[in-house]
Amino acid sequence: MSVKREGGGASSTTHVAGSERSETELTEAQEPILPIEELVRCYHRAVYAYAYRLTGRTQDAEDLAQQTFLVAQQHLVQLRDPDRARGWLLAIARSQYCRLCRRKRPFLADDADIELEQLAADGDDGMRIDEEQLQAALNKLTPDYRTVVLMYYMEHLSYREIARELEIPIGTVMSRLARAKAQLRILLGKGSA
Amino acid sequence: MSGRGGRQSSSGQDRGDGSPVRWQEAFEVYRSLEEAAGDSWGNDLRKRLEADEDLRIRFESRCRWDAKLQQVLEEVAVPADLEERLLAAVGSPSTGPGKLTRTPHGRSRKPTTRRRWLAALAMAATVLLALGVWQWSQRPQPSWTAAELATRSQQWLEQLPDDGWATLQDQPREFPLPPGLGVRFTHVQTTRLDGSESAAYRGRVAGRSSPVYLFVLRVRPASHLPASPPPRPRTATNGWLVGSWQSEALVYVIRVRGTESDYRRAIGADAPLAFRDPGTRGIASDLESSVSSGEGPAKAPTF
Repeated sequence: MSVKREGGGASSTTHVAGSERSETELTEAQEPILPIEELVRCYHRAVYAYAYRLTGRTQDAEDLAQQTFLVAQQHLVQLRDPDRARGWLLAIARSQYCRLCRRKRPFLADDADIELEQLAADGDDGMRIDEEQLQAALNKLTPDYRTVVLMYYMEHLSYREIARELEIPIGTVMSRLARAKAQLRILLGKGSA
Repeated sequence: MSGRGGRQSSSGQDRGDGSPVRWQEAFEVYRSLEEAAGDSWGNDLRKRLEADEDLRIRFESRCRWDAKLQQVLEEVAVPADLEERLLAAVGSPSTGPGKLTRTPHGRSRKPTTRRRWLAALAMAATVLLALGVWQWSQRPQPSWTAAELATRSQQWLEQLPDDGWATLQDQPREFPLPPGLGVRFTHVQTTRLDGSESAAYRGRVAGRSSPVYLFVLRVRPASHLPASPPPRPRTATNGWLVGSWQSEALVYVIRVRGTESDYRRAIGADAPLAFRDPGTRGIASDLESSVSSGEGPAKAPTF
């Protein structure tokens, strides 16, 4: 979870060589760099959009967005770089969503197999992408596939970063991402036909 | 051209979980040629793209498609008051991090507090559910006149599915047959008629071939319905004779096809003693008194 990663950044800035860490420095390390209200104002749209794409339902997205900011509020001191606030919040949203998915039902992504031979054959950038069709297609993806797709497109992570975040092998991420994208293209192609 | 359909299945490089990475997978995960130059899989893909013009064009097309998809993904209409609600949630002590109530998957600082909340919510939900069921059970039921019942029973007859009949062995407990009828009922089916749980019985007038249907409905008692089968039937279409009455919370509608004599025998008025239920008084005496006065019986028969 990226909270840890961001937290790692926080600890590196607060660690003073040896054990000579002053009271002032410790206090500063516990001070959040941004108030939660500021995060809500700046990023509620991005978090909600991400939550909506993950869950596919308005009510669930609102709940997930709220949950995200509440968790963020608890770990606010871990955010040390304002430029990473968006990614940090999206990572929290994703983490909460994944936790919910694990509670609901375990799912093996590789069960939803598709032909690899279809992968590179449909790079039609002229295809019109309808927003509703896109969400319907996302909803048809398994949670594992949907998660990597949204990490790729909305968190703007590379496949290596996705692998690190999800703690799964790089090859698995490549496979899931490729299959999910191919499946999306097929679903959107059917929708527009 | 390098296999548009992806005939080359492997680049031969292990991807860390024991299986090889296929070039098609690498084709999908890089955002640009520059990014693809960063590692061995990317370099492999890059070489393929440089050697295959068609593949390179498709890669660039795929990158444009990705950019478009990314743009559409981020175009989500946000509820107008979401920001205010979120600010209230993070600022309000009642919805603070320790007291999450909307999302069941939230982390709580005080699990026991959360469990108490959930228990209270579950109890409230149970009470509401029970209240809802009670109100549903107490909802106003349709109340029909005898004339309406005669008309509706024709529609009910047409609605009954042919394959819904079961041989009558045990009467449905909620919809018992009234005693005293001169009918040999052979089939039954439980169904919904005009939104009410009900049962339909099928048979023939005792000792005759006239078909008989009896509908038993649990509807609101109506003061204008008699408490026993009316001695004079209403004449419906196609030679059906119809009578309706009520007993406690049940309304009975009998349809007899034939003559008035058939009808009278069906309701037990002319039934020979052999066709009456043993141990019951029958309704003939009540009918006689109502016929003579031209009205329904003064009180419900004690079946």
